[in-house]
Amino acid sequence: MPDNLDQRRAFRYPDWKDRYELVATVTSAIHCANFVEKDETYVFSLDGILDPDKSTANLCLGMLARLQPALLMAADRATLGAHPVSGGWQTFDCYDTGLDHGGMGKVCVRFSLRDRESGEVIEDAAAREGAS
Amino acid sequence: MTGKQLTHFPKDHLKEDGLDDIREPLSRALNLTPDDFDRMSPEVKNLLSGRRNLGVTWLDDYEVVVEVVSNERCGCGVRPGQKTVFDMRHRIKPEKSDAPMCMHMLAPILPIFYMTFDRASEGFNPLTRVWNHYECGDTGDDDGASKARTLVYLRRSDTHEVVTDPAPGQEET
Repeated sequence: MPDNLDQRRAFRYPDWKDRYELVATVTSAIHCANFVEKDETYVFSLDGILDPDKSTANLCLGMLARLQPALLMAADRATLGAHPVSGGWQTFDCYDTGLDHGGMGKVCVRFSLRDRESGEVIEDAAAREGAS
Repeated sequence: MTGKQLTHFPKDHLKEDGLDDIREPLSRALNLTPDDFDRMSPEVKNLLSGRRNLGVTWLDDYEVVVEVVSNERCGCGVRPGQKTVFDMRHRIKPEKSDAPMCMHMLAPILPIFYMTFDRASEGFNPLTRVWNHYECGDTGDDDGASKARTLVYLRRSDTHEVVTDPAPGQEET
């Protein structure tokens, strides 16, 4: 393993950083006080930077902060050359516990990977590299 | 004895309060039925009661600024002096922000807003005077020495005047 942290964090396929983006699409939104709505999106670079221009949902930190572990996971998977979106941890919900659990609303999202240029949803970026 | 003696409400003191002053507009805005509204927990009622203490427009009157004070290592592009601005509903205001929106730096800020609603329900300045310094969640190989760090403060959303009054919006007694 390299001593240099930047080397250890380098994506196996360096062009992924420019080629792909992570999209968290709202799959449900109930009584959300920040008016996040179903089918809206949050868009991130593979190194975890939110793109406010491409994102269509209100930029609620109660939802965004919940996604930070997923962003770390995506970057980690990219260092290995694995598809950045984990199949096991793909869906996330916001920090509000919802009306029936002492809170107010609840928003859920599902992550996907998207080609920046074409907008195509990428089901398996690793397979495109011929990786197993 | 120095300082003002504070009287803390019981945590569920709004349990029997119907919040009639906001029931109709809030129900309409959030698509709440009368049954939904009546199921609301005392904690959420407390959250919604800040307007009674700081004024009905308090959520629009102020904003929270997260200013980068140092970053010696991270390649995400944040630099000292850059800001990320939030409204009081903890939504980023991109039009007022100039820092890259790195979620590893911004996610740790969320507790600020748990405190703003809690403090507003007691009638205090919504920004904590204890937890104002934050740092990126990325530790790195130097035990976090060179990570990005931020300072959080409250300002008026119209004039950008920094607000440090103990209880803004209330007349001194």
